[in-house]
Amino acid sequence: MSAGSQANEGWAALRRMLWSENPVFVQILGICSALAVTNLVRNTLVMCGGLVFTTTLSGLTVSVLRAYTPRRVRMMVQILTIAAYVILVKVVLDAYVPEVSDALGAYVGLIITNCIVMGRAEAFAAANRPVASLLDGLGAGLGYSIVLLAIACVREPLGLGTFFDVPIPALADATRWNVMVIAPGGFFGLAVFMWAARSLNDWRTRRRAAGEE
Amino acid sequence: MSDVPGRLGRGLAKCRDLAAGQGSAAAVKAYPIVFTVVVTAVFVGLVSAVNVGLQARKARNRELARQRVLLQLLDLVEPGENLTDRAMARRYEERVERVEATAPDGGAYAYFRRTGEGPALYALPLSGRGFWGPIRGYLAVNARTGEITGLDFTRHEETPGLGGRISEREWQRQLEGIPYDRPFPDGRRLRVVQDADDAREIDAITGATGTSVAVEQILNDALARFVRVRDQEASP
Repeated sequence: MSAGSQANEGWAALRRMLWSENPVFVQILGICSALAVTNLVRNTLVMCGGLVFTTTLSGLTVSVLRAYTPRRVRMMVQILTIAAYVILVKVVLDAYVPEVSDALGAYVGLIITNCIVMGRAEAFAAANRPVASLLDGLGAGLGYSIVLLAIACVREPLGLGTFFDVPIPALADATRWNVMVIAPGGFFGLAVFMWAARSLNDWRTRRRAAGEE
Repeated sequence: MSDVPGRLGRGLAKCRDLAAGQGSAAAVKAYPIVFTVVVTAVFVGLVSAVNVGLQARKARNRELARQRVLLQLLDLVEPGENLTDRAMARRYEERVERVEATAPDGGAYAYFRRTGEGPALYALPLSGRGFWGPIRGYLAVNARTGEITGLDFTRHEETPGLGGRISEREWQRQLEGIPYDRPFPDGRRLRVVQDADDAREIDAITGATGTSVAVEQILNDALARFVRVRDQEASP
């Protein structure tokens, strides 16, 4: 039960979440928001911040409460914890960055139903110690953010000719791909990212296998 | 009383036992209910406290955003001028007058007037249903020349990149110079169309027909209401 082993366990979980067990392109969770909010880099960044905050703190809270939570009501308590953190995010965004909050609309609230948050609470935090759960949640949030930001960095320039709301001079005269801004652009972006990431993983596995022979 | 940590520790240990199903049958049955109620109360309290604490700030944000839009529409901000919140509130107080009127249909109606020297600018409130949700904003007109001078929205939920382009300056600028006192035969004072070729027409947004149609309706409603109030006051 030493603090050191708990932290090691947590760092291992965090690293798994970033790539080899990435919630979006390996576990295929959180797809709804990956499609919906990735047409502007700024909004994507705020959305990812909200998710990282929620997965991290809900992981910690669920883990701290796990010994006191009766099994029958554990999912209700998890959802309650998650909802409380998400509403906090929404309230703070409304008060301090109202323009961003308006632009994200319903999507911040929908973090509550994001399968990644509930998935980590149920699969990891409900059975592991607090520090490890916190790091696991952090990793899940960051793993989600990597994918979303990569997609947004392609969709916004191609669709609107801007990056982080700043016009890109090289794209000033290029035709705007309207399709990148609307939902199909999200599907294309996500599919291409998944294909690339999985191909890379396959290639690495094959190389490792070849090296061992 | 002195052994508070010890008692707390024993209490928590008891809760862990009950959560694991150890203890008297009645206590094990009641524990999930008590636990859920306590956890709910804690989180609801936390969220409510933060929300109440930030309420004043949210209201102020909304008011400042509204004042900024009105000052810009009434041409009371120099290009490139960066107003602090306080300076803006003061200028709003000094130069913008809220004019109350009775709408022809009997409802309350208020518009905003630029006071002091300068053009006779008015800002008319806009409100109506957009494609996804309510749209609110202001339309500025010059009463002397009878032309629209500007448009801005304070609230809308249109699709970013499509209908959301109604909040882009380039799109809004199309309205500048449109005469609002020469309606089309069908009563509309301006039209949002595919290829604008009349002085009273502006280009719709490709891929956002719903938003374009909604905005046309909202703008015409606001102008019609303003003109009716004006004519009513001119001929008592």
